[in-house]
Amino acid sequence: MVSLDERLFFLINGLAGRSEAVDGFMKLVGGEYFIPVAIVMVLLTMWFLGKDIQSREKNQRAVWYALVGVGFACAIVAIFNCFYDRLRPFEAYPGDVTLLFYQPTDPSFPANVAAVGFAFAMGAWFGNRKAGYVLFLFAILWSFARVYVGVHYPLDVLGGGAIGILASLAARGFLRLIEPLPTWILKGLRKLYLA
Amino acid sequence: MRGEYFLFVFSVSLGVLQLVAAWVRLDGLSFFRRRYLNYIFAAAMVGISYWWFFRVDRNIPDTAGGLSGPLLFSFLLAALALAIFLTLIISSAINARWGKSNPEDAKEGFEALRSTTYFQAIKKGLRRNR
Repeated sequence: MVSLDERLFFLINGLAGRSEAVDGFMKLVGGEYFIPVAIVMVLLTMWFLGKDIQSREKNQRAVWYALVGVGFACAIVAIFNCFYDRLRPFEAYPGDVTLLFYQPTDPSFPANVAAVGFAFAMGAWFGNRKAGYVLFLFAILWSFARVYVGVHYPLDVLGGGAIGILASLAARGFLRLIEPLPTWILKGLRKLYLA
Repeated sequence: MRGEYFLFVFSVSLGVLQLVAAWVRLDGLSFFRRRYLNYIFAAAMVGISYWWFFRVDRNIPDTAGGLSGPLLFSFLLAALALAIFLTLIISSAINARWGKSNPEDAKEGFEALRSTTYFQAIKKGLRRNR
């Protein structure tokens, strides 16, 4: 499994350095600013969308699931990092990896960006399928770019993605468990004309 | 870097809020009376902000001037909050006359912002609760 993971990594990372335009694009979307801000803007749009109060509330609950899911995902990744320290590809194979990014110092597995990206996407998907698919595309692109630029193995992003999806599922369960608190907050925001 | 990131998120949010106001027809949140102007403003704000922020390489570790995860989140939240707050103030000021000419209604939440400004809606809400 690990060997397959590393072979797949070198296959994807082997594409780096061939085209300046593709490298530039991957550096852009693999970074910490481009896709996260785009994801948050999709969630901001979702907060306002809906033909009526019911459909808008569904979207707004999905935004909650996504935000709480991201919190859970980051916590799970932080716990993983305390017990398992997988070396980054550029540390394990110095000189063999085409590194287009700075050298992160935290463990390679699980990929935090994949956990965050997929948690956002899964949370959004619960309320709005179209927005969910768009965010899944963002998450996949973000994760792929991290392998391409040489900072993660494919298994890291698969693990991170699974954590993100499970975290948003857990977030939905948690928010349903603490009802009617989320409903009160939404009603309060509606009274203030903010929802 | 922190200031630039804040400004980037702020201006993108301002643009997206105008896009949403036009799309969902929340006229009380719009800066413009004509919907196509909202779309032009949104496209310009988002496009220019992305171009301006990414005109230089932003892949910088947090140990060398980049932003760590918690800082990224805090700045994003603060910039977003400021964009929402300013949108409410500016749209209420621009549409002050327009909103007043609309009949009083008891709509809740964003529905009220289709026919009145944010501050007028708050005022009407307070009056109803008295």
